[in-house]
Amino acid sequence: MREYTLTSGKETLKVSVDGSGRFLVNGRTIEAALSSGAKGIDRVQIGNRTYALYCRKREEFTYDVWINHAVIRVTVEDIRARLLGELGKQAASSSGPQMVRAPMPGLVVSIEARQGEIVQQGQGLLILEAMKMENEIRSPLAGRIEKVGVSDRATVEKGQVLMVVVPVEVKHPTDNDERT
Amino acid sequence: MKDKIKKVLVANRGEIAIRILRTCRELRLQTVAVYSEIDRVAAHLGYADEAFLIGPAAARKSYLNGTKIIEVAREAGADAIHPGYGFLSENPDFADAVARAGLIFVGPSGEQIRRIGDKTSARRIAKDAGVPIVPGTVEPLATDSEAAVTAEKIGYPVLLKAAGGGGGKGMRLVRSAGELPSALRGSRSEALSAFGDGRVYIEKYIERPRHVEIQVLADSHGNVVHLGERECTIQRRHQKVIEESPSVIVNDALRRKMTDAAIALVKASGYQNAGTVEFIVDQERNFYFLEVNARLQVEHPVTELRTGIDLVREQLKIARGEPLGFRQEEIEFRGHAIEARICAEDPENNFYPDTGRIALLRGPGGFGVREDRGVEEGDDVSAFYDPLMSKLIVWGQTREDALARMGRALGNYEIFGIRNNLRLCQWVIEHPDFRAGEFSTDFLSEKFQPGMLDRSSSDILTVAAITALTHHTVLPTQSTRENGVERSKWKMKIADTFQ
Repeated sequence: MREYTLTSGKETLKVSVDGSGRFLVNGRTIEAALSSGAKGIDRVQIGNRTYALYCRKREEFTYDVWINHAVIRVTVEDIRARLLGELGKQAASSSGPQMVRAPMPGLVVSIEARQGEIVQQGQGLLILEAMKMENEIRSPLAGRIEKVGVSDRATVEKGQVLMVVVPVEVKHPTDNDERT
Repeated sequence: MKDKIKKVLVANRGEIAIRILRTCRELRLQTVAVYSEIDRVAAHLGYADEAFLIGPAAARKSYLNGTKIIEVAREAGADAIHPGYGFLSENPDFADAVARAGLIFVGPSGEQIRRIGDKTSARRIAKDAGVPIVPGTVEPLATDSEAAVTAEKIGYPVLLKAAGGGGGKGMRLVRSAGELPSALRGSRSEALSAFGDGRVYIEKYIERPRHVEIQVLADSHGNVVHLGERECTIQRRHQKVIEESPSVIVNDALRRKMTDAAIALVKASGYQNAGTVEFIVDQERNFYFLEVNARLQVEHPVTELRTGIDLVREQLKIARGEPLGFRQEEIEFRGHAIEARICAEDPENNFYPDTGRIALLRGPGGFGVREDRGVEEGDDVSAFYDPLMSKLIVWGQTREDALARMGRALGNYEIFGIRNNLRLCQWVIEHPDFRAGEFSTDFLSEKFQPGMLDRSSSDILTVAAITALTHHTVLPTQSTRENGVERSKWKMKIADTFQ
């Protein structure tokens, strides 16, 4: 189960979801059946009560939900997503050698790219275990791994340089794949 | 005379354009709609035989472009233009231009609009006709002693107002003679610094006022009738939200006085076609003339539901030069009607207008329910025009019936995708003071605070949270380069975080 913190106005809810329709909301187990209908109207059934709602994404982590005559604004605190997203945005905007930094402190549990390897944008570079989850750190650009700054099982701080990637035009990455 | 108008151009949009077009269709008149670039697929176009583009989205380039509208009317072969409300409806120059173009303006003449639309002119006509006006001086006060004498004559509390401008600057509420000298000093100096003009005048302060208006119809044969009153006191920053008829505070005696005054005023001014005479009523049932609205008003359906008279039809008949088809005694008033204006505004966020696509719209129906709506599901509400989306009007045999019906109708109304004031309207309808008929124009400003509408139970919040989270975690499928490495065991644990 993955846990998220949701806020709406002054209310805070801790919601865990396992993708099966079972939710844990502030410790309370809720079985909900969600179906998406025509015109984007969702129907949520909990027990013998059905709700019709309309959910619209406002910003990256903010949603407006129309239910009954109210509009409830919910913000999802997906910290990992936020941090890892920022990692990608930073790198994409600059040229030259890119430092791939740890977005949060953690433990390197797997290194997936080697020095000298050509990687595509979005390709997995290493797995960082943090916040009780395994997070794949991906390359923000297409390029060549100039340096691998950490070793397997290393503990890293937030902001620590994990790898350095030099931009390179990649046409047929498989040709340059030196891994066997 | 029926042949005088065969084709009508409706110089408006939204719900009022639809409402006018409906009556034109019933009278078997040909119809022309106009639209701006942003209204290319607007709802009102579907109700007319022809539609013409008149300009870009900005109102002053389209719906306020009188020259273009008259040009289109001639091109389309229309013989009359109905202006609706707002836009050009009370523009005397436009009314004149329509007449000069050989077309019929469905409303009063330019001269009549000028005469009755000018506040000082209207007050003078009212005074001469024996209609009570808000007591006060018309000219600025010359001396402090004149102020004291006038204040005694009018009766405290009085309001000192700046002659040079409005917006509350230089305004002072004076509750007793003792307060007058310092209030005069303060008022004068504030007016001087705000407008460079320290002159002030004095007016009676009407406490806890109510806004009651009389609907009138006047033909070109000297016949004038009234169609009863409408109470429009529930307002927010001078924008009406709820209107009803009859008014709780108006008893038979007051009604007689007010309707007599309204008719006297209309006769004295020579005004023709549909119009509304607005009054302020205080808690002692004294009434004072405010102004005349020389047009069809937003809340006219309230009167239609009580009288069974189609006001747009009467407007067209009068415009054709026909006499009114009924006498005052023949007009019957039945039951009670209430209207709620449904707007694309967020009452919880300072009534800020909302824009966006209407994802779902399901209006109520059933016995005694009328809806005059300007938008349809799937429409985009823009910031260019009035946020009024729809008028919900109910009729009941008694006020209690009408209140219950309005509560039911508002409850059944579903709007998703655009923030709106449905809950605020429900809040008003359920408020004990409103139900008791005890309110003034300060009702909303005094009693309503954001957060009062929050009836979200924890269940509702839970459901909303679950839904938002489901939308958040349902991710687009992404293909990652496998590189010959088995990645499936990671996918379940790994957050798809690279966006």
